[in-house]
Amino acid sequence: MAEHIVDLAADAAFIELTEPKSFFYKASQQLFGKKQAILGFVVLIVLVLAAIFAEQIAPYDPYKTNYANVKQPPSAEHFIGTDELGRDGFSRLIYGARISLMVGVSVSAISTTVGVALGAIAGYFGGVIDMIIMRAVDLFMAFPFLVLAIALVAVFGPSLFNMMLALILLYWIWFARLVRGMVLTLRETEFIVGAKAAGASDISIIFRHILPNVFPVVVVQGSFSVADAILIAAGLSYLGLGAQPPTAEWGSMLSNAKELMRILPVLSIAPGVAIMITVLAINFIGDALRDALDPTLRN
Amino acid sequence: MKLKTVLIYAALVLVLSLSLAPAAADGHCPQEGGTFTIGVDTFLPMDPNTAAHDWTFYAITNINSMLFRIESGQPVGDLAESWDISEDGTVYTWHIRPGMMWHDGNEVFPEGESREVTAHDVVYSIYRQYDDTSSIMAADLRNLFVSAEATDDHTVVLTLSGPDAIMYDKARGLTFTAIVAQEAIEHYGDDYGLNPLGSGPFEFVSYSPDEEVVLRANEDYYIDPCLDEVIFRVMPDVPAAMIALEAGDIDWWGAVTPGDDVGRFLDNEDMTVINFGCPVATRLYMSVDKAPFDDVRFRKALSHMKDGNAINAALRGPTHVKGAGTAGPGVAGYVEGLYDEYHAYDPELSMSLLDELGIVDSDGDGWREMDGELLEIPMFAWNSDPAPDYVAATVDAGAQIGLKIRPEIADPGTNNARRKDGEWGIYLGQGWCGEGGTNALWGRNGWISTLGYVDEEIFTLLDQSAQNLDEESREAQLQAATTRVAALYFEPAFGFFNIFTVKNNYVKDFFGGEWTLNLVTDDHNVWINEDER
Repeated sequence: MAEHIVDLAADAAFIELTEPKSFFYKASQQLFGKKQAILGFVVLIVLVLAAIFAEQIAPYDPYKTNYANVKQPPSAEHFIGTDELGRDGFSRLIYGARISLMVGVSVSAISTTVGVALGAIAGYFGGVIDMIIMRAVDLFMAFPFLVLAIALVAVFGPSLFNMMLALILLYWIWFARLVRGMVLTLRETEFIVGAKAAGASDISIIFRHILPNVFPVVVVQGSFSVADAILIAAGLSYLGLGAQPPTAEWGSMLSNAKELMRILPVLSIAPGVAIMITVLAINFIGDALRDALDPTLRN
Repeated sequence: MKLKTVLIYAALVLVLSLSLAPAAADGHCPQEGGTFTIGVDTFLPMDPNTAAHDWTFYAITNINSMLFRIESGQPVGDLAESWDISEDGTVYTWHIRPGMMWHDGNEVFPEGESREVTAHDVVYSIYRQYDDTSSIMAADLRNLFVSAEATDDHTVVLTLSGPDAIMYDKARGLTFTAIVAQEAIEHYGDDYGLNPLGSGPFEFVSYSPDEEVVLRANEDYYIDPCLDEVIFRVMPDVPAAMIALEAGDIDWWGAVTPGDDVGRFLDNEDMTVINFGCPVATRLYMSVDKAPFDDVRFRKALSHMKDGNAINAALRGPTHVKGAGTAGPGVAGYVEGLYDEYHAYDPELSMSLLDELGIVDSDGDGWREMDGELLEIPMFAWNSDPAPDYVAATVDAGAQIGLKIRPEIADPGTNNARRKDGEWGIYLGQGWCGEGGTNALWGRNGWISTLGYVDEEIFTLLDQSAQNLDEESREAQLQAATTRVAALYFEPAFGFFNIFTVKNNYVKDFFGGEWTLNLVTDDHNVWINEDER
C-alpha cells in the first residue's frame, strides 16, 4: 500500500511535470531562449526609449540652425558633427528614430488591421465579396512595389503623411492575401463546421475561432513589415518623396548628407547605420517570433 | 637655294599652324566623331515657349536654330546670316541664311522630304512666343515689340517701339526665341516638347524623361559638327554626378557645381572650371497681391526674419557673394549695400512688424494666427540641392518668430505652373542676372508678374533703361529700379552665387554655357580628344 501511495505520488509528480504548457508559454520560452531575439529586443527597446525621450536625450534642438558652426567634424560637443546648416547631427539622429519607428509601426499596424479584416472577410464569405477584394489585391500586385509607391506619393504630393498613406495602401494587400489563404483552409475544418452547426454567428466564428488561428502568422509577418516599411520610407525620403525639410528623418538625413560625403562621411554613415541596426533588430525579433510561433520550426 | 629654304620653312610653319588651329567653321575637326555627354540635375520638355529652364535650353539651342547666338558677349550669326539695324534702333532687318533645312527622318518630315527654313518660320516662331503671354519671351522684348514681318523668303523685318539696349544680352532678348516649324507644332501639339524638331546643328533622337536626351549631328547644318552625338544625362544626385565627372562618365557638368567641389576641381589639372561670369541671386518671391503679403510690413518681416547672408554663405561655400537685387557685383544695375539696408537679419523687427499686423500667437501654441486661424504659409521649392536646405533654413527662421512655413517640394515644372496660376505662398527662386534678367524678372509682364509684382514706377524705369543707349544713365536707371524693388517688395534675399561649371580637359574648343549652349558656331566647333580621354 505504501509502495502504491509512493507510486501515486510519483505519478502525480510526473503528471505535473509533463502537463501540457500553453501555446504562448512555450512560444515565449522559445523566443527568449534565443540570443538573437534578446539582442533584437534590447536594441529595439533602446531605440524606442530614445524616440520617446528624444527631448531629454538630444543635446541640441535638431531643427535649430547655427551658421557659425556649419560642417563641423565629430567632437565632444557634436558627436557626429554638424550639417551644412549647423544643426547637430546626433540630435537629428535621435529625433530621426522617432519618425522612422512611428512610420514603421503605424504603416504596419494599420495595413495589418485592414489587410487581416479584408482577408478574413474575403476568405470566409467567398463569392462576390472575395472576388472584389482579391481583384483589388491583384490590381495592386500587378505593379512593381517601389514604382507604385513612388507614383502614389507623386500623385498625393510629397509629405510624410502621404508617404505613410501610400505605404498603407500597398502593404495591406500582403496581409489580405495571406489571411485569405489561411481562412479558406480554416473554414473547412471540423471545429468551424461544428461552430456553425452550433449556431455561432459569422462574426463570432471569425473573431473567436479564425483570427486566433491566423494571429501567430500575422504577428510574424507584421514584424517583418515594420522593418520593411522603415526601409522603404527611408528610401522614399531619400528621394525627397517622404519627410520634407527640415524634418529629421533618417532617409532624408542620408539624402542631405550626401553633399558632404567627401568631407563629413560620418553624417551619411550614422543614419545609414541607424537604419541598418533598427531593421536588423526587428528582423531578429521577427525570425525568433516565426520560430517560436510555428510548431514545425520549434526546437 | 636660300629662297627654297625660306619657302620650306614657310610651308612648315603654315602646316604647323593649321594643325594647331581650333576647329574651324568649314567643318575641319582635329578629331571627328565621339559623344559629348553633358550632366544636368533636371530637365524639362523642350518646347521653347515653356522650357523656362537653363539646362533645357542647352538642348533647345542645339536642336533649333536661333536668329543669332551670343558668344563672349557678342552676337554671331546663326539662322540669320547678317542683319541691319535702322539708325533709330527700332527696325531690325534679318537676312536668313539660304539652304538651312529642317531636320528630317521624323514624323513631320520623312527622310529626304524636309524643306528649307524660311523667313515665314521665323515670323511664326516670334509670334508663337509673343501671343502666348506666359511664354518665356523676355519681357523687355515683349514690351518693345511692334511687329515681325517676312518681306520675302529670306528677309524678316522686326519693328520695335523703341531701341532695344539689351537685344544682345546673353540671357535675354531674342536669344531665347528658338525657331520652330509650324508643321511640327501642329503635328505634336502639347507633346512637341517631347519631340522637338529644328534646324540646328544637332537633331533630336530620343527623350527619356528624368533620364537622358540624345541628339545626333545634323549633317545638313551649314557647319559640320565635329561631334557625332550629344547626350544630356539627368543626374539629380549631384554628389554622384561629381564622381561621374571625375571618372569621365560625363564630360561636362552643365548645372551648378556645389561650392565645396569648386575648390577641389580648381586643383585638378585634368579639369577646367568655367565661370558663367554673372553672379546669380537666390531669393524668395511671394504672392504680393494677396494677404498678408500685400502689406509691405509683412514682406519686410519675412525679409528680416532670416540671416540670408549667413545661410547663403553656408550653402554656397566659396561661390557665395554677399548682396541683393537682380544684378550682382560687376553687373550693370548692381547697388552696393542693398542687402544691409533692406534684408539684414533682424528677427526682433520681424516680430514687432507681425505684432503690428495683428498676426500674433493668441492661443499660446507657439505659432502665430491671422484672423483667428493658424497662418501656415506654403513654401514652394524643388528637390535639387541645395534648394531643400534653403527651405529648411527658411522654415527654421519662421519658427524662430512663430511663423509656420510648410515646405511644398515639387519638380520645376509644377512650380512654374503654380507661379503662372499665382498660387498663394512663397516661392524659392534662383537665377536671372544682368540687365536682361532685371527686366525680365521685375519688368512689365515679367516672370513673376503673375504673383502680383506690378509697379508702374519700376516698369517705367526698366522700360526707359531697356531703350537707353547711353550706358551711364542706363546704369542709373537700372540702379533706381533695383533700389525701388528692394524698398517696395523687400523680396527676401539670401545673396548671390557664382555659377561654375566643370569640364574634362579632353573636351576641346568649348567655352561653356551661357544660358544657351553653343557647340557649333562660326567660331567654335566642340570636339573630343579621344587620346586624352
